[in-house]
Amino acid sequence: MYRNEISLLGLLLGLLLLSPAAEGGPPPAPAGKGSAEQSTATARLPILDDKALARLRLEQNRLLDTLAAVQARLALLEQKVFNSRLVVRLDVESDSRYHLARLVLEIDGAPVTSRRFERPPSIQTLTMFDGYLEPGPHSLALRLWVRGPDEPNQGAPGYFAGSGLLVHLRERAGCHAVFKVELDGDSEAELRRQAEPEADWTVDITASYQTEAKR
Amino acid sequence: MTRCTASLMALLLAVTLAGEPLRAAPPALLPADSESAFTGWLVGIGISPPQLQRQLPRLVQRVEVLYTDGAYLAGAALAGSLRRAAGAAGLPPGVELDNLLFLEAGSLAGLGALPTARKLLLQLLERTPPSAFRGPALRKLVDITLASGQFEQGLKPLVAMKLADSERDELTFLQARALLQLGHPRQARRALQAVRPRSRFYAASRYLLAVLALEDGNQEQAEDALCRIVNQPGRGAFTYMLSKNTPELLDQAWLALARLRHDNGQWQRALATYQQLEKDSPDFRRARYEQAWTYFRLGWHQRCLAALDEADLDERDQPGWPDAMLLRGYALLGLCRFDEARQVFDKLQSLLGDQSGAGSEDGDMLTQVVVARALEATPIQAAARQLGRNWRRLLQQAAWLSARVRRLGSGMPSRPYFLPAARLAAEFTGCQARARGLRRRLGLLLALGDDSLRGELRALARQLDDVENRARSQLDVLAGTAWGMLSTSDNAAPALTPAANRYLKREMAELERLAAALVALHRPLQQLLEQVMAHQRKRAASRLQAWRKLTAIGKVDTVLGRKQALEIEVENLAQGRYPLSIFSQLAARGQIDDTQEYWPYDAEGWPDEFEGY
Repeated sequence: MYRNEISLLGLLLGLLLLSPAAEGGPPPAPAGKGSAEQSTATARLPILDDKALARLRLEQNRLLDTLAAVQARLALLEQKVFNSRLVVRLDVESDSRYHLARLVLEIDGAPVTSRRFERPPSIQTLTMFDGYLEPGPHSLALRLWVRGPDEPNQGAPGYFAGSGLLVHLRERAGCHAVFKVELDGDSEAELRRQAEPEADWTVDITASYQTEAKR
Repeated sequence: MTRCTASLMALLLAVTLAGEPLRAAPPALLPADSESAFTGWLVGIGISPPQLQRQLPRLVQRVEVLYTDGAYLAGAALAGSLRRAAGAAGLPPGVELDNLLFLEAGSLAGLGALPTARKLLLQLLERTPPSAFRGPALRKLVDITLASGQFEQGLKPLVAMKLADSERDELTFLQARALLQLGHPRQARRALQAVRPRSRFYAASRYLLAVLALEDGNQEQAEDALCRIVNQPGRGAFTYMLSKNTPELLDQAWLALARLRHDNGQWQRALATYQQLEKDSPDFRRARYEQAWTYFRLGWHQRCLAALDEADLDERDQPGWPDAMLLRGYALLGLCRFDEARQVFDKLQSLLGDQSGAGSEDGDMLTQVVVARALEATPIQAAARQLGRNWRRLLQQAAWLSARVRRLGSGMPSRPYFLPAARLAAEFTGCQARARGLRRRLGLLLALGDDSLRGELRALARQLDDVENRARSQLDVLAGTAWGMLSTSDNAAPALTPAANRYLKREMAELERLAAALVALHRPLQQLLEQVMAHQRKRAASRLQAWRKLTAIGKVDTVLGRKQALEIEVENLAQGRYPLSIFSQLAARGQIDDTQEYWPYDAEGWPDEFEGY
């Protein structure tokens, strides 16, 4: 058992040098106790091809670049020709300790906004889309992942909800769509008292849109 | 347009269904073609510069809202279209346009479109007279380079640039990180030491210096570097410039210091250092778990158990839960609570399986599922998975743009969207989600440790694996074929101007090149992901072996401990030192005189304690 204890040197280094230590911040925490054995075992494992990863990442960055340019050009064309604007907003109301962990907004089946919240978001209103599309019907789909009071920030969020809306854009008019989300549920103390399947979590999503008068 | 789409469909189908890699290298994506066609159209429609100038502040504000709210795709699109409009209108450079460039670069970086983001930021950096956004642009460029690890692309233009003294630290830190990545620690150390306290990277540089010192076996130097991060005058004052990563850095530095002290046997100091992590820190649980280890080494087993309770790592589907359970078992052994320790080891053994189960027909699949969750993904694994997710997102977005181009070119832009196979895709996604949810519930059932259920659970898990894999592969096929299915009859008369139609044709060709490049990327990406999964399985198998061994030793220890306790008890009985239960019965019968003692001593239950008062 004692053999399984700490050997700081190996663990600090292994993880720090492996890590990209992104965003200019610190590398992730060194592994915990009991990793001496782990590091020895891991040393025998085949090394992942990080060069292939870098090449693929570079190529994907280029493709994303092309995609963003196409998107910008199309948006301007659609603005000048139709001037039909779509704004999609999210309003979150939560009095309990249930908070948003992740959201995805899809327009016409394509994900346009995807956000993860490492910590409970401090803001309650988010603009998820503001741009120009061609007039006519467009489908909006919102998916939400929520973390309960009993859930640690590291794991996958345990609660999921979704909602959809079909909006009709008109030429030379703006359309404002709002997803209003109300979160509520048992507190941590209540969850401890109850068996898990009996825990109560509610989410109300009201989706609506309003079209401005023609300009 | 239709002919092109048909060829694309054939290409996609061939690759996604047959699974053959595209032999040719991805074609060079030259946005100049569609960009110049677009510029031709844009110049033709005539944009009024004064009108655009008037609208610019409001439009920039809209981009800013999207950028701060994390809607990067919409933000990049709006900013990119504004930049192009401003270029066509010939607006002179100014603060608002610079702000727009900065926001567009930020949105593109958030999206992962790094080449243009870098180009725009360099444009701001090279501006003479200097732009008001020079500082933020430099910091953003450095951040992008650090996050992507693409030092060659980010560092090269910066090295050639003349930087002010106040900007040198950014470059120095970037160089240090590049040197570390290239495997030159000595040069990296020199660069890190040159980072000054007023730099936002000062704390990060001290942390890396500590790591390098540890690599050289110089613990004193490492501790000194870490203390420079955590030791502050107090009352909210700091001796270095704070950055957005400071809280995380402080936590990491405290953890590293505590580990150093633990390793050196300075238990009390280690305990106090672990205590520095606040309850809202993401590393709080980890710190408590490690603190439990320190208590264990001190022999304070009761406190060790309390710290483990606080860490709440075991039985919670958390990375490292078998380690936490093992420590709990050994702490219980230390307290001579052999039955409880035995329960912990039995439960762990039922979750991990025993040696005899390893290498069986189904490859100990269920155990692998349990163990794989106990291991945190390495940075390379996480990055590879992110690439996989991005690939599918890219394909969906490209298909959406393609549908928009077709609708615009069809003369019927308002007709309802045709979303081929959307329902099927939604159902497969639902299947995947349900399979994952059921797997989670299986994990909870497994945690009950009921051996009679084990076989059935194993079979169920195998079925769930199968469902999830099939859904995933079908989604990949759908993502490819849906693109081709969009090409149905676009023969209506175009309603746009000839210049706009020329541009749309070029754009369609651009999108088809993009699709071909995406398809070419699929196979190597799949190979990488398979490699990652195989690596994770091997890691899990290796750790599993170690955990099983420690569990078996723990179980043996409980038996030995119980035996030893029994021996002591018998010895005491033989010498006339009775346990309290026997002593009470004998005393009630009057067979014990005042000179006799019972064992173990229990002052609170001693009758004389009460009678004497």
